[in-house]
Amino acid sequence: MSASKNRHAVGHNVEKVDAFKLARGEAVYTDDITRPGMLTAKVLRSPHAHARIVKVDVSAAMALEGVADVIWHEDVKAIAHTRAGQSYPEPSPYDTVIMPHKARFIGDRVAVVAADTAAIAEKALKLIEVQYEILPAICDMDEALERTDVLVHEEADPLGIGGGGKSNVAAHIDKQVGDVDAALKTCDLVVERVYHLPRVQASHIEPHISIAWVDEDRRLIVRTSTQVPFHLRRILARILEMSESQIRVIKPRVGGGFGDKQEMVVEDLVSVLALRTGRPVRLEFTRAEELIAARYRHPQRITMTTGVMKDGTMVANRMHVMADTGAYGSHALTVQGNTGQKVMPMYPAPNIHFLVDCVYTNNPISGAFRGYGAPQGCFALESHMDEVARELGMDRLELRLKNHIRLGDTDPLSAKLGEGREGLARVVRSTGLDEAIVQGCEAIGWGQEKKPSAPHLKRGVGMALAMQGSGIAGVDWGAATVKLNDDGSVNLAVGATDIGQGSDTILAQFCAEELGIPTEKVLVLSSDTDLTPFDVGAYASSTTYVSGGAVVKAAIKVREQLAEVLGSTWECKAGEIIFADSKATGPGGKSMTMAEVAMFALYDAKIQPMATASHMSNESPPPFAAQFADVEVDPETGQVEVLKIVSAVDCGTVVHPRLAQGQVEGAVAQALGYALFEEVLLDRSGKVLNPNFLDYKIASALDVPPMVTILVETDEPTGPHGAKAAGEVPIDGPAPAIVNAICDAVGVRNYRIPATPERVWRGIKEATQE
Amino acid sequence: MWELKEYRFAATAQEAGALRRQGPGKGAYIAGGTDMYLQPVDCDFVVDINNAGLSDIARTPAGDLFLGAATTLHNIATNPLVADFAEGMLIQAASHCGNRPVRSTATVGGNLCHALPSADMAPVLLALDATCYIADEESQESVPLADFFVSPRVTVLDDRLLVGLALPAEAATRRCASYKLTRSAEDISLVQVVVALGVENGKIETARIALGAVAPVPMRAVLAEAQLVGQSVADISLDLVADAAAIAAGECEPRDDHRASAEYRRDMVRVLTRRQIMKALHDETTITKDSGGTVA
Repeated sequence: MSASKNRHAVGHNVEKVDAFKLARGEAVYTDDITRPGMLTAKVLRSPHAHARIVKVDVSAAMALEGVADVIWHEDVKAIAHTRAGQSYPEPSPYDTVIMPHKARFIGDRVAVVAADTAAIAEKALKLIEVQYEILPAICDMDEALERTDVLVHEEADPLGIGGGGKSNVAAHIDKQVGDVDAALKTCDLVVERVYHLPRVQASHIEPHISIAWVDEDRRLIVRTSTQVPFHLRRILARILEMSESQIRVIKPRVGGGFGDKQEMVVEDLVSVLALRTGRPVRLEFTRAEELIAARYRHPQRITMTTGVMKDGTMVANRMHVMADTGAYGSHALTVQGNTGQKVMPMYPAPNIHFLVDCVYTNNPISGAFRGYGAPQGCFALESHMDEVARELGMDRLELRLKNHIRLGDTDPLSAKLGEGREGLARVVRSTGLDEAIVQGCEAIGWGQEKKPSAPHLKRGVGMALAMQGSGIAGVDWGAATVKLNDDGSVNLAVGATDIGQGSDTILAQFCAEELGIPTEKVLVLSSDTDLTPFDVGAYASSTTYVSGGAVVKAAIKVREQLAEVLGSTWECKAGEIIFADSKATGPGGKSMTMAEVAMFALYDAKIQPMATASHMSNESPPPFAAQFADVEVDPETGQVEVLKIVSAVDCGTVVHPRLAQGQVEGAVAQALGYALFEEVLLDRSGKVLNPNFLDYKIASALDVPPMVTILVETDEPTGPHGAKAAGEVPIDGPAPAIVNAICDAVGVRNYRIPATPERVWRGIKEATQE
Repeated sequence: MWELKEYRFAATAQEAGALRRQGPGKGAYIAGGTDMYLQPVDCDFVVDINNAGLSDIARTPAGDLFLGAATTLHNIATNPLVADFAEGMLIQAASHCGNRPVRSTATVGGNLCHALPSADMAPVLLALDATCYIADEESQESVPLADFFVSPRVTVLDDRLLVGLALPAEAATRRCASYKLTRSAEDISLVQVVVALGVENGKIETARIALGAVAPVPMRAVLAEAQLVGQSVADISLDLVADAAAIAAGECEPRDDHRASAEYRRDMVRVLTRRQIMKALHDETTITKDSGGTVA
């Protein structure tokens, strides 16, 4: 199947709409502007994991020349909210205020300075005197679950916390299909293992950065690097006690977000300071702040219990997730929910049990990160499949083939698990999984004997299957506005947020496709709460599938308006007019270029061809991936060299092959770090030990192996032009595939990632001693 | 944030000393500045020595190799005079330090003066018997590199300037092998091992085993070296090499930190020393893959 066959825009490698300005280094990012009198803000952070902020003396800091303002909790009204940028009502607990009365982790906000320069602001931080009442801290998640005498959130004001302020439980899930305990008793083999997932950080190149000012109409303008401009405006309005009409959020180009910007991390502070001082205020995180005070992928401990029959049929599967949300519960329920919901349906056994205990601790904050819980779950499940196969004495590919989800199957968990509400049943209406497995196996050379490159090395291959979603069913929605200009070009205004993934180009392609014009005739505006219609934002792999649906609808509406105008002058039915090749063609050889059509509409018919459309889907069709790793291990040192990663991905119709490949390759590089290098290390007091890239190792260009990306096209009936999502699914499989390959090479499993040289070495050593 | 009151440029080593002594306040020398920027030095001003005539690489008529202290690691990694010396070991060490932008700025002198246990250039220079030339306005002194490091971040320099390093001609013909063990491709070392063997008439006459990141300062495993001296290259047994490697592992003093445990580091000294000895002896059949560090 080739999507590009009858389409001129969708399916083609058109020029990325923002490529030139980015390549030329134009001033396109949040921090590329300055404003007269702009202040720089810096945050004083708590050195204690748990301490009441009794008194903050800011007098010496305020007296410093160049300091415009210093705030702490006495200066800002405490309105409980969540910083998670989610649809209203948010499923995350309202456990946060702008300036806390109690520091809940080492790095929590205590005071914020706004000064003429960053240097003055930093000097002022040192002059602030804080009186703390130090409280006992809980930094271990098991301790947090057990203890009720020390509570991270005991105040009366936070709302909606899982434990109701009486425990440290931030979220609890217990959903079952069938009866797992009873079914396990009937199985020929039950395999139970525990897997450990690290705390990792998205490490986007552009840090969190926001600039806020009050304009000539006394409105608050927030220019910010965000994935969620509309959620942000809503949250800001609430906590600043303003109306949305008084606030405008502008999202310029964004240098990477990966979920870490689906969150209000700095916007509330620049807003408060701009409103207080009347001056523009800028706040940019340092890399250390990103690694201490932004958000992490939740660290988890996952216990898998799986019952199978001798022939490999999976009868029962249980996943118990223990997770640490840290000091605040951003995305606590939903990330952990996804760990099971996005992952367990891969093998739709008749009995499935999914359990979550997510606790508050006095550690830094976890939140959204590309994959949103699925990389953790996929690591556990796909490692576990290899373990089950080994115990069964069955081929690990065969076990997967026997049990994986197929076309027409109903995902057993989705109906039970919504985003904090009842979910919607999910039926697989398109899948290229089998084809992805076949092509992936061929590309990696599955089953072929592979010799190590030196006698002292061991070689192995591993695989993993993954599925994700395309938006949140029944929740995510977006809108688009299409407006025709004199020259036949159109403005496409979308609330959808391009954060570097290329969604502006994808959406322009959909628009161009429907109007029969080249993609470069589509001018994309994304996004500005004053100028573009609503969209939930860039998360949950929603933009191509959900926002794309809105663009298609809006463009069709404009096309219909044009057909009607032309039909009345050409005296034919609107349906008889075809829009293609930048022309409108009617019966009897009537034809006009798109520019002529536009001039006719604007100056003869005197109408503005323009439409806004909204789109929501009650489905979230899963994209699929089969991913493979070929590795070489040095058993004496524990070093792992990844020789090749193959990703075969079904994302429905491939809208832009090169951008889809980029999504896959970027995800593989990020997942390589998850598998082998990345881990934010905390000491026992909750202090981050490695808040820098010297010691928090992400994969660099030198670490990334040859990557083979295979796009297996399917036609998703509910998607725009058959498209599904591509942004998240490829980050799920590489880590388990790599660890499965290590195990294939040396016979020892890493139940804990990253699989550092020392961990691999220790595993081999312990296995040898046994 | 690193705030300096003044940034001074020195045209000669002597002037550098004078500028630093001038005050007011505390001064520090700066060359590439890559380490100083990461961990700002407590000082009021810096004296830049990049244009103080300390960036030359030269071979003397006798064959000694001279490296100016302000020579960048990139210049070392690409210089033909260095390529001819000790099987290009200095090139290997320099080209595994940081990444290309860092190497274009960072200098060999800075790498040594910063005196981290993991200094990338220290083991190879120790293994090749480097001598440090130290100067201030009044005096000049030469100190063997083995005596240069005092403790982490502390050298014998005080306020004096390291102007250059000399490697004896005799070291130029040593058979060498080195390995830098890291977590990812661009990383400081968890363990570094350099072996340099002077062979005459089929016998090991001099042996150097230098270790990085496994003691408070870069060190030589002198007891292990002694095992090798006098051995015939053709007849050396694998057991003897393994013994020497085990001795080296006993000599080092690694510690636990968040990068690796002492236990792992010590065992890696054993494994990597054994491999590097075999490799230096040109026994390619025993070990083939691990000569280059994680960067090919």
